[in-house]
Amino acid sequence: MGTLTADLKIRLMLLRDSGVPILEADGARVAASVQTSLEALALAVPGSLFDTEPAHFDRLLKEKAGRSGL
Amino acid sequence: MSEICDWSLTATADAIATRKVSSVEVVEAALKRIATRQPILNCFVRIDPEQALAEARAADAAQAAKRPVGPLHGVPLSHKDMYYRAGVPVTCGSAIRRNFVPDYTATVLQRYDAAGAVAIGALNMSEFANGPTGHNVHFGPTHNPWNPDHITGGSSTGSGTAVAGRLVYGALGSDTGGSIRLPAGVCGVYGIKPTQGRVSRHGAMGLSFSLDNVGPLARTARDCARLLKVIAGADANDPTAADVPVDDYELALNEGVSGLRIAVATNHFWDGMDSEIGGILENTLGVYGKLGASATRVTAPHLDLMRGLGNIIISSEFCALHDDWMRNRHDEYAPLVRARMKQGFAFSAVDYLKAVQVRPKIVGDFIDQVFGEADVLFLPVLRFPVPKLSETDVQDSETMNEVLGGINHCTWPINYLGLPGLSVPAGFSRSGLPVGFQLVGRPFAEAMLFRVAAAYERETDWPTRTPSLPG
Repeated sequence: MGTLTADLKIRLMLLRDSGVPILEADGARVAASVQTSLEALALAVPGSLFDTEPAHFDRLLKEKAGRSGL
Repeated sequence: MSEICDWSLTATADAIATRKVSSVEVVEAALKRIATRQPILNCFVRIDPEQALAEARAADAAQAAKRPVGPLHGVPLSHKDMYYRAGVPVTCGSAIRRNFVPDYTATVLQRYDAAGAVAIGALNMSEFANGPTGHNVHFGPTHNPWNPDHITGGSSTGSGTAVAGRLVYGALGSDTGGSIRLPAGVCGVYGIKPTQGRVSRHGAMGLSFSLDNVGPLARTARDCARLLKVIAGADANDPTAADVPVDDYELALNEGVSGLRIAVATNHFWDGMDSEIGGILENTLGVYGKLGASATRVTAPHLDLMRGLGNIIISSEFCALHDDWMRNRHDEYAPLVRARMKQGFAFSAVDYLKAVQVRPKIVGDFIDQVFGEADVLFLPVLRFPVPKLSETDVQDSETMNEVLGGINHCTWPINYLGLPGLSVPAGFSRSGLPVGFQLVGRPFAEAMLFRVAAAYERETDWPTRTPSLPG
């Protein structure tokens, strides 16, 4: 793991402040995984989510259903 | 009588229904088989012989009295030890819950009870359904019935082994990142992760409520179809269970695949594919071609994002459920579980909600692009031969993320997508260990998956092959 960004340092502080014991191996591994996940999130949400609805996922599954196995 | 244990679930149910064999005979044969093979496979955490025999006697008495019988009447099943039954201990594969006794019964168990199934104990699993290999530091590893040195796949470790090892006819698993489809594929049986919301989760241990699914493992497509049909559908106790009608999955099995379109995603799932495994999967596609189905190579969108998005959701939801224990009973978790999940405390509420809220956009794009021109999506289960237990016992080492991520590479994205995925046996590698493939469909298209699986099954003899084990 290279130099941590300021944002990543804050995330790791959140983890440390949670009261969960942090072992020696945890820091680098958590930092790498969190960074990868946040990069994916940034790519997935490039703009605003303002016009989204809370139950849209359940509705989408029904709208896109393909029940005809027969 | 041990050959009874090698029958399929539906053949056994039919034999009981027509009184060619009694439920007591079937349960006695299963208990004898369990006594012989459990010391090798370690797939049970609890065996209830007296209770199972009492239920079998009651099933036979009901039949003698000509009372109506259900589609699983008298058939012994056992399930991953995370389904609550009032008054019966349920460990969730953990030390923390080792002595927990629930006071209510899971909807899926109620539905199997109503269908006439006999409960024969509880199956080993990864701790809190967390881990795709088969290791469990509290109850010991579960072993692959085709070669006990190798992993079962997880987290429904005992479910895969008990069904493939012919100890029980079917078993429930749960699937949050591949935990049904991996042990099914690695042990050489069928396992379905249904559409998100297809099966009630009332009374099932939660790991990540946005991604958790309940589903069965079994030895044939028909067995798996019957086990899913019994438990699928809306549930007044679980508002997340969808009120979408349940198809007749067994009716779909004989429809064939002529004219169907099979999509093969060329990106992500085939990266780093082992040549032997890839060859077996290409042969499988060749069988579908001979049956009249066409294969289309597609590039599926957003796959590079799903590891991260799923990671944010699963670790955040796990930490919400385990907050108190993670802080105060940290040492009671296996090193792998706590190391893998504690990152959930590093994500903010905004991160988590964005990963949830962008899901419909990602899933909508995926369905439109992949299923616009195809009926099913064909995927590997594993991209390499089944590894040994010793090769994957990573605990909290530096290689943990890489090893575990390699194992669930092909199953993980399907949970974020919420789509149904069925693991299907595709034969065996040169080392004698199973190879499997996944069929993924549109939402609520489980009948289509069983239909496509059954067409291939009729061209093979995989379900009739049995592992070389004593008893």
